[in-house]
Amino acid sequence: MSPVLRLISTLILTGAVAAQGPTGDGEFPVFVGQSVCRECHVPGGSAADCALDPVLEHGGAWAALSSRAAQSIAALSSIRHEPQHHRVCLTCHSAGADEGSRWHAATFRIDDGVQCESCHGAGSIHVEQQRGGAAAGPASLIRRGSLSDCIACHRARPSHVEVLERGFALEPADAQYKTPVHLAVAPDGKRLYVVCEQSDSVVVVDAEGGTVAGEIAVGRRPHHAAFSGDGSRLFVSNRLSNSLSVVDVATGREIAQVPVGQEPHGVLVDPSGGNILVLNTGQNSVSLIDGVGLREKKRLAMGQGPWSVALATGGRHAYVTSVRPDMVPFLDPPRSEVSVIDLTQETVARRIVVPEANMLQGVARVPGRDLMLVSLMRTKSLVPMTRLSQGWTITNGIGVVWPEGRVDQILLDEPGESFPDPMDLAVSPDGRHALVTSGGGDVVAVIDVARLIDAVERFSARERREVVPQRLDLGERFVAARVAVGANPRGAAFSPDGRFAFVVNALDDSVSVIDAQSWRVARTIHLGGPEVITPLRRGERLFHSADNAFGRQFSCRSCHPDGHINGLTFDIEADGLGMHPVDNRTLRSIFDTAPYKWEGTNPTLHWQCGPRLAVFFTRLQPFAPDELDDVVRYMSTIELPPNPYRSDEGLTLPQRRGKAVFERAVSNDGRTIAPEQRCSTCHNGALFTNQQRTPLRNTMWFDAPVRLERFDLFDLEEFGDMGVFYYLESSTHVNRMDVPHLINIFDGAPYMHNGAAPTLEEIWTRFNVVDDHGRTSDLTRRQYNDLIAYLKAL
Amino acid sequence: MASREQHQLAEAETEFVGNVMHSMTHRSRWTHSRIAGSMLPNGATFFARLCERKRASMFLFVLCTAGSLDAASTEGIGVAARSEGGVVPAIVVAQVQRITDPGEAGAPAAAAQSGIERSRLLLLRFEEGTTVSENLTPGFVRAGRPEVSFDGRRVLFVGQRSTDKASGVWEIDLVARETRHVVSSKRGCVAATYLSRLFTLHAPQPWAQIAYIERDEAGIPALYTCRIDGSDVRRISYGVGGVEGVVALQNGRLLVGMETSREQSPTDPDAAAAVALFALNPDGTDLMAFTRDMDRGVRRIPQGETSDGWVVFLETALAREEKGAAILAVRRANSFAAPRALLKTPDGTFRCATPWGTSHLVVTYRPWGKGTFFGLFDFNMESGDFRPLHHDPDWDAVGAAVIVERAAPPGYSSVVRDDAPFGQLYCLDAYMTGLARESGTDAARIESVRVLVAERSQRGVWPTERRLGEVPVAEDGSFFLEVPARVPLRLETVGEGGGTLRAMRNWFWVMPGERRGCIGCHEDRALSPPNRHVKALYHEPRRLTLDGDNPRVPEARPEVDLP
Repeated sequence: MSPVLRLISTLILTGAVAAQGPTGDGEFPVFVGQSVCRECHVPGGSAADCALDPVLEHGGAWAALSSRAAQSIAALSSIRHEPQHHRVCLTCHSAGADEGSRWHAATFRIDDGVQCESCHGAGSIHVEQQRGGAAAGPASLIRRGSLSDCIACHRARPSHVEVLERGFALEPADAQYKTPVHLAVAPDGKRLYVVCEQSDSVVVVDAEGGTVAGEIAVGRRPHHAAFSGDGSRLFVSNRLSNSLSVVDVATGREIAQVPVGQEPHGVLVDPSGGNILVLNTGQNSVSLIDGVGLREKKRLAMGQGPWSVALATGGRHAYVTSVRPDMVPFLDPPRSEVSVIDLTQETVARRIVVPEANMLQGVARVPGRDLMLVSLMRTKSLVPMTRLSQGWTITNGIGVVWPEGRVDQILLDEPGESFPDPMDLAVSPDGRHALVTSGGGDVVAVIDVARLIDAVERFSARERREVVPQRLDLGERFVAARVAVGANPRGAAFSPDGRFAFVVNALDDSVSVIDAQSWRVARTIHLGGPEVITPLRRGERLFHSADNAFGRQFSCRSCHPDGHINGLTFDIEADGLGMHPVDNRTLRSIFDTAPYKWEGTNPTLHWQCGPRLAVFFTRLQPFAPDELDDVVRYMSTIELPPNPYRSDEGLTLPQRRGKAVFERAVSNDGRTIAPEQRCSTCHNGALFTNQQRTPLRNTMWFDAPVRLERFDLFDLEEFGDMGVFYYLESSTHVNRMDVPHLINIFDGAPYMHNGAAPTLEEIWTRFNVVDDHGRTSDLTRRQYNDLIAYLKAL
Repeated sequence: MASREQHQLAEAETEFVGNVMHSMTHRSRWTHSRIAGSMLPNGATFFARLCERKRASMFLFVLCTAGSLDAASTEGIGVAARSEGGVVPAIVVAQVQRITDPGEAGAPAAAAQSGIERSRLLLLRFEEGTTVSENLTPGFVRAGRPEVSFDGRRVLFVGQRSTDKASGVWEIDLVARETRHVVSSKRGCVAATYLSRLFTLHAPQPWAQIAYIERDEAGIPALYTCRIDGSDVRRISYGVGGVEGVVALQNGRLLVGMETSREQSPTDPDAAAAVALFALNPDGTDLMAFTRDMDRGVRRIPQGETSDGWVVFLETALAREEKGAAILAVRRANSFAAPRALLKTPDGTFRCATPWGTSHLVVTYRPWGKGTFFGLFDFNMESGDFRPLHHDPDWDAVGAAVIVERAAPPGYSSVVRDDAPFGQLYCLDAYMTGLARESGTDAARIESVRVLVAERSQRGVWPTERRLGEVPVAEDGSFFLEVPARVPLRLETVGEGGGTLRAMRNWFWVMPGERRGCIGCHEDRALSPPNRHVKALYHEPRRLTLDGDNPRVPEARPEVDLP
């Protein structure tokens, strides 16, 4: 293309973008690419003062993303997407990645790698004005590059060091593991359909012969499956495809994928109405899919992180568990929701509150009794984490959900040994026994349901509410057996005749077949994953095992399901007792965000997950060096879910406006915003963090021990709304906090270092009224909305 | 006892003794007696008899409660002692030479404990129809309390080379047959055990260590740890009572017997005190009662843990008139449940019951009576089989350790800081007692909590108690304070007017930098804490210091048990 044609096309596209661009908020430039820049910025050109040569040394940055090493680096950055097309990688290996292709002119070539606009920002307006002979002025100025632009990318990145210097590489076997997480038993009981997360497939097992009969490819990271009423179709939720696979059972093929909400988990087929319920865990909703037309017809709001769903007695209602607790007033005990859906009315019939519980995962109906069972944890998030014995950090058990909505919670732990990570529940067809899998304990508890009910009903109403949920010695009254199974058991189901129970062992690619008479493992069926155990797999096992915590009280997953968060704040011993509650942060995309923890005191993940984790969390000796390598690498590869707020084309117009707010240097009243008060000063780079410990100017009273002259105990109420009470008068109470990354911040609630903000909006509207967390008090409502829209797209 | 039963027992005794004599003479198969049902409760028909004949064995034989002797033969007992789990591995036996016939129950045991001379470790190997013994400690005048390392290759023991030197801790490499000195003691070591590894933030990597019991300046047996090379000695117990027996549990904690009371004769250093089981971390933190019934007037001495989690301990009555002993076990996962009685006898005593494998104990037992002595037995916890393994009329077998590899407990990571002279205490709700919170009009309002510190000058002298201070209790029942580390402490809840509402009967301590939490006062160990952010933690803790001006507390026995 000749320079003239290229310029014309640039101007046309720039004009087109400008035409659809914002009005009233100013116009936004698009990225034109270095070919346009070089028309002037070449030796002898009209803008020869700015040579391109240094930039051209970066021209191979994009091409480097095609290497095998880049795949491994991306994996360690929670990215399994092609690096050459992933926004996070492109931020430093090309230009214009944040805005996306919608904001690229036709002249822009991504394969030119790092270009002028990587540092100077989109140049279309600059080009337009220069071509038009406009006098140099504010509008024609593009951003001046600075050293900080270089630093934003040229930082030490552990993901790169691990691959390029320490030799880490994804191994073929890493992609070949099955990782079964759930199973559905065919209505005739002859076959098991085992949902395998890692292989993106459903493995079909001949139940009688114990052999693998086939494998069906489905969407990415399938999680749950349910049969249609006639058994002809199998519906599989795909957690990272945000879809529901429809499998024709007769042919063993996927015949359709139905789009659903974010990170779908549980699936239920309504036998009467023909609807398919899909729980959108990442969006706190349930999609009702027309079973015939296979289109989403309705979406209902659920609790936080809906996880599993089961049909209640009578078939009219479905019960849905929530993996994360509700947003509650700060420092209140957590509570979680069991949502009851009226399948006839297609409405939420009831929201049952389960006090002081979180991580409600499995749910099952008890045949012959009008009640449901749910698995749950009771995390002691408000108690200083100084002890692990006697259930001081997490207790684990089940909830008995009665028809009127009352929930009796009872523990499966013992005083000296926990039942870590209760995952799934299955009840025998005769309703006499229930299985609960302990993902962190590699064990299954067999519950005698009649004895369970008896154990609960022996207590008074007050005791059932206040005492029974705290007791660690009741399990022996109703636990008939504890059956050791494979590594990381998750889904469980009974055969239709009740003779056998099946438990999938996620991390050794097997199914344990348990004799329901003797409660012994009768057979272990291997699903065909690699026999070799790679370092990543070893790390995955360590991550999911409670063997690494004193008393087997918890695993890493106990607080980080799917590598994410449990929505709680914790009082960690290292920074003193009572004060400094810190929000539990996601593990996704954290490898390159050192320092770690909210206080930024851990320089590496190896330090955080090694010595510090051992001393202040697990209390056992730290991982051995090779184990630590493995678990850190596994953690770093926990995959980032797709962002539903961001289209393939990039930012929408409101999001682009929000980006302008995010990067603004001038307030609405025309004053220059000090650099330390700009969002992008701290939140910059590919992951939107400067990786610095920054003074936290909106330190709240509970962020530091209160120093009172008199030794009076005071009431919380004396401080009114704690969210707007600050220690402004005393710099001694100003803490330094790590600047968190903002990738997928949309599903990271609660927010802020102490988890005080349940929504993004409240970060500013409630907790930044005096501009201590950036200059935001002058923003209009629309600007707030735009800013939030942009942040959700990150 | 009915005459018919007596006749049967007499016949059985004769048969048994005859078998023993025959086997000893001809080194052929022995017959053993079997306990039909491992527990022989008081009052049951129980028969034990000592056979004292020329070179004859003096073995316990136990008859079943029904009075009949099951004399089923067992191949190779004493030659290659077989059990349901297979051949008994080699055993290290601690023996005390019998100088005179003590004629009094427990005399050899007491002598060994107090450091009697002429004790040794004997290695027993059961090979091809014969028992091979080897003195592992020929250069020692005293050697005892053997403990086998987790890899089964080394033996830790307490030994003394000469009478003019105090006993120390030694280690034998069983492969190289080399003995090395681990740690010395001015006042004499009593027992030692291998520990899980310890780690702190200031250490590059976890280190192996041992624990041992040594008398402190006041003569009280206290618990110490050191690295396996003998360096970095740390005292980790600071109770008023002495420590009697220590073993490492599979979860990495230590189980100790600790004197809890000397009410019977507080100033008599030789008087037996009640000993209860406590567990603590290898850095001395988080001392907790291990079993219920702490003050039943018994002595409970820890023995070890089976590979499937049963913690074994000996129990003897404090009262001299109550002879007899029992081997009990509780599951570590639920140690506050009622113990399971494995063996119980009113007519003899046990000195050790060392677990090995999932269901076996190596037991040293001696029936009461003149001329009796301690022999070595294998007890199968599942079948109840109680089989003789070895005896020597000239030596009492007072301790034993089985040479078998076992899983090392997980290492422990410590927050203890040597540069921190204080530890912290916080309580979530002082109104929480037992399994529930006291409430209603009957619940006396707790105004404050009083902290008492004990100063003990020498063994047998009741400690002086001083008042360290009082801190207010928040209306939600919580309190938060900072106290000197490494001193015996006791708490009392105080009501209106300063009256004591509840008082701990036993002492505890905090280690430097430890942040010790409790749910309530006299909370049940089966209770997990409620998830509450308590008011006392809204501010920094009140620091109580020990500066010499702390007022002495008039001697008054605590009346309310608050373990």
